[in-house]
Amino acid sequence: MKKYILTNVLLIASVIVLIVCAFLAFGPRSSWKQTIADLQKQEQSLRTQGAPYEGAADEYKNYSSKYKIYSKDWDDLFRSIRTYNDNLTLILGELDTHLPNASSITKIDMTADGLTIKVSGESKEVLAHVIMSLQNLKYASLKSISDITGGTGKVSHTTRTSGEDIFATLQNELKQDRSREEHLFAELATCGAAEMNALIQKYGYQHTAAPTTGKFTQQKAAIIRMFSSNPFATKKFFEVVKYDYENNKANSLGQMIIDDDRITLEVKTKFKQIYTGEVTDTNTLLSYMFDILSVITQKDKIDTTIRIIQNSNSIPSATNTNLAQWYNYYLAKTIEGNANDTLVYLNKTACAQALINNNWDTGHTRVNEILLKYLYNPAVSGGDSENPNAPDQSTDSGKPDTSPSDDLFLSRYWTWALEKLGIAKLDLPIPEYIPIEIQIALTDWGKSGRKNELPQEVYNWFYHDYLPSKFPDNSGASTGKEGTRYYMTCKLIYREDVILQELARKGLNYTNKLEKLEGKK
Amino acid sequence: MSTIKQHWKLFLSLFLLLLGILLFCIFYLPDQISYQQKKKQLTNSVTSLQDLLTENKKYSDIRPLLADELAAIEASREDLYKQFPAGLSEEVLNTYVQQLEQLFGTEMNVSVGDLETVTTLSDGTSVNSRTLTINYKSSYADFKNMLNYLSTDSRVISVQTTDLDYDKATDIVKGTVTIVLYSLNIEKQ
Repeated sequence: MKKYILTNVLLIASVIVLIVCAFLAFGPRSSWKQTIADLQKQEQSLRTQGAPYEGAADEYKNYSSKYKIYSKDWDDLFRSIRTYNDNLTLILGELDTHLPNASSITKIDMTADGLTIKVSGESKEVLAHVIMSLQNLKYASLKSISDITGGTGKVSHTTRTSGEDIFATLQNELKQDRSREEHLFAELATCGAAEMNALIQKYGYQHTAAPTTGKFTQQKAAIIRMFSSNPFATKKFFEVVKYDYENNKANSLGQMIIDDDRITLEVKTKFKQIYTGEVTDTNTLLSYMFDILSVITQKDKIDTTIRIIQNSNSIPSATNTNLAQWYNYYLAKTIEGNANDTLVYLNKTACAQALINNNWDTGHTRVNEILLKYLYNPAVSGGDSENPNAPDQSTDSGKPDTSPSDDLFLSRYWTWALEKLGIAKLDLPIPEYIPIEIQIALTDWGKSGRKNELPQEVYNWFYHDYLPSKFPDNSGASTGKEGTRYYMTCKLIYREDVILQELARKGLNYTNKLEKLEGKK
Repeated sequence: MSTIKQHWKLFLSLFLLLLGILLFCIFYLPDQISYQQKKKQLTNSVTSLQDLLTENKKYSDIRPLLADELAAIEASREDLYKQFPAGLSEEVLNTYVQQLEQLFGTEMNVSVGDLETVTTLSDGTSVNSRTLTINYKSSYADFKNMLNYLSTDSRVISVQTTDLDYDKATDIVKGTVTIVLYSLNIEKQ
């Protein structure tokens, strides 16, 4: 009976299989045919639709590639042809008009980089006037001053005269001069360690409120303020966190964060990547900073955060900044209650645009000023390598080397700050090799909004003590003494637009270059 | 035979199963593969035709202007090339220097450099230069006048380097000046 049922079931199943196979073999054919027919119809329709436009894209591509070649040729040609006659004529004309009568040009060297002139004057005051005049030239910019000599001797940088008001006239003129800020930084960069120490002793920043401990709100505000406005401190902090974990594992800030169940896994992972050194890429590190700030300033962690900041100076570091001093500075400023009153706030879009496009002209004026002066100042990347007379900074204990990647770091830092904070708080990042006490004094000044007014004491030091020290001692060569002359070499940079104007006058007008078709539309 | 009779249902079942499999293999599989291939081919064709149509439509507006633009590019290139002399022979340069000497009352000792290629453009045209090295002696005013002359000269010419000493007492400028003249060697492709 069982066998009978099984056989019948098998038979019925076989019939079903046969029917299914037969259906599959012959059933879908009509649907396939329809699908193919639809696709063929669609293909034909597209061919018909496309017929009137056929070849348009190819023709455009042909035009586009020819334009690209034309444009490159045009640029190459104008880049390869350099005419300096106008620059020379205009610069010499300006020098004739503006240089004091008591000075004279004794040598002119001209290269593709610019014009080097050797100027002589009867006295130090005359050379000071010459420097001022060169700073105000319309058709050239003063790049450097070197080889300052007096009488027959070369200047000794360690010689310092005091109390002599030889720059009184210069000082008056400087009140109208807008470029002294850069001048100050350039000169500070050439200061020796002894000069810097003297300067710090005399003019270093003095807090009006002493940093206190145990005030959580102030500590938190100071940390957030420091990391959201000071790229050097941020960079150093990444290193400090890693060092702390490697050396104080159980008591480290990293371990505290890992052990805290309230912190999300995502934030823990980010922090772990920092302290294990798994992530070293600046962009990534900066992208973590917002989350990191939220955990390191928690009430139960802030003491540890401050501990590692305060101990940061004893760790080996590639970033030469004094994190503890910066923290104390921001804490003092927070306690003094002027955390926000003088910061410069900027429009995010304009700033970001300026950063992304490198288009300083269309960006916010203040961004231009600050980025150009402080982030892209040649002094930041190690000074004037073309000036063989520039002091050797690498051997000067008062001016630690800056990392070659600092420019890149700063650029990315600001991008991060702009994106994450919405608005950028621009505490001025001053070149690292200038000691922190001076950085603080100048930072305060920079933030004060009085960008055309140097702090009087720095101003006095710079123009009464520092600059005179660049000139020879007066012994045997007093000012204006007959038969004694002073010399200096000045390098002037051409203006590119003058070169283009001259070429245009000769029929080679760069602006005659055709625009691409899209540009015209 | 008796076994077949006894188990005819089983044999019939097996036969039907085999028949079904045969039908599937002979009629379904090959046609299905062929159908899928053709469908894929047509789908790809339709997609690329759609892309092409979109692309072609995008440029259809400016298409009538392209021929003129291409002609304008060539004309612009020719206009640019016209500003340069075709060649700079040593004789031409010596004449030029003599002219400068007479114009500005200077003492010049000149050496003419070889023709150098500054850059080569995509159509094979090369931008060439020739350097005149001049030992120079004149008044400061005449030196400036010469610079002014060079800058207003229609030729593409420029002082490139100078190394001049100036004596204010005698108002004499002396030293070495190099002047570069540019030319084009046009090679039509």
